[in-house]
Amino acid sequence: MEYLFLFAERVVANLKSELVSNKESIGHYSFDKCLIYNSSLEISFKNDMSVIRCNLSVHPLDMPWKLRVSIDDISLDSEYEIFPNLLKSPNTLGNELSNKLAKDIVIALRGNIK
Amino acid sequence: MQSCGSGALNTLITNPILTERLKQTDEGKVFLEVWPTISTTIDLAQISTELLTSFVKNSKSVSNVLSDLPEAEAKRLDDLIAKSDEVLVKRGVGAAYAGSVFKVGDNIAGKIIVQVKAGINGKIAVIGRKMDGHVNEAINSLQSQGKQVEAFNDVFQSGKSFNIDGANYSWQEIVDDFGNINGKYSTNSDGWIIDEELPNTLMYKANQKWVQKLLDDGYEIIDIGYPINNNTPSVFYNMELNVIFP
Repeated sequence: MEYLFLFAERVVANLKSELVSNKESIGHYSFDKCLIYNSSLEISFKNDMSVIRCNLSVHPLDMPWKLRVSIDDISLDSEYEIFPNLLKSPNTLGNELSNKLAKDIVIALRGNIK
Repeated sequence: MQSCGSGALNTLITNPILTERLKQTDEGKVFLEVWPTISTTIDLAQISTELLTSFVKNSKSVSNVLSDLPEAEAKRLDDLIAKSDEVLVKRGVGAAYAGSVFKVGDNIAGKIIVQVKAGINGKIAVIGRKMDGHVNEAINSLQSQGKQVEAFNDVFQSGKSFNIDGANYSWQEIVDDFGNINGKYSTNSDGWIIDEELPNTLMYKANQKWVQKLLDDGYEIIDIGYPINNNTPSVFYNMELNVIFP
């Protein structure tokens, strides 16, 4: 379970940083919540208009694991495959993936604004 | 005392066309097996739960055939089913045929039922190839309808303990073991526990225990199969199917 905390921390930190850096073009988003259960996590950021959600289940019946991202309940096309060694390396592989995830979310938000 | 009276429903014994039609289905055969006991008993309360449940469930399953009984006898049969059900409810078994509410092809939250195992305790368990966005959604939908439901996930298993190979483990210990932090199980280069090793994990053994509990306690088990665009096999799901629907 601890590895979910460490990975979630990377997602929250990178996404927060990317949202703040791009606030002029996408508007202000605030961290809403990060819920970690035994085998799943849910992270959300929001503002008055919309909600960004990241969900991951590492249940054995959900293998291969994929992190799902949605903006206002519309799923992003990209899929983020999460494998055990990535979760066990939050500062390298986990950080890399969460960085890409954060950038993709900002691109999607810019697309929504256009 | 729930008496059914003697000599009721002679047509079931004397009409060869009707008995032949009943023999054409498994449910009809079971009905004909339990019928002599049920129809001649003085007090239904003396009949075992297993036999009463079998009678009620199978009577319902062959109701299309039994509807050809003469009107008076059909009504007496209905009364007998209702009285049997009353006995079962008093025993805390619940409506004996409540588990037959769902059938193959029914839709729960957009998921199509592919198999159903009838239950006797009024509770429903859902299985399928995927939890997130699949089984979990079906479960949420059933819960919103006021059904007593269960699934093999955090929501229903957190706080429970499982006796595995003589030792008790919490759900969290089982999840952590599956995380394989200490490299207890053989993995591939991405860290996935290899298929041959999965049956040795506490998670797999807990899953087996859970499935056995569903069968022992008489849950109605609904299988919603694979989600759209995902037909990847799962060692866990295959085990569930092999045990529940052999």
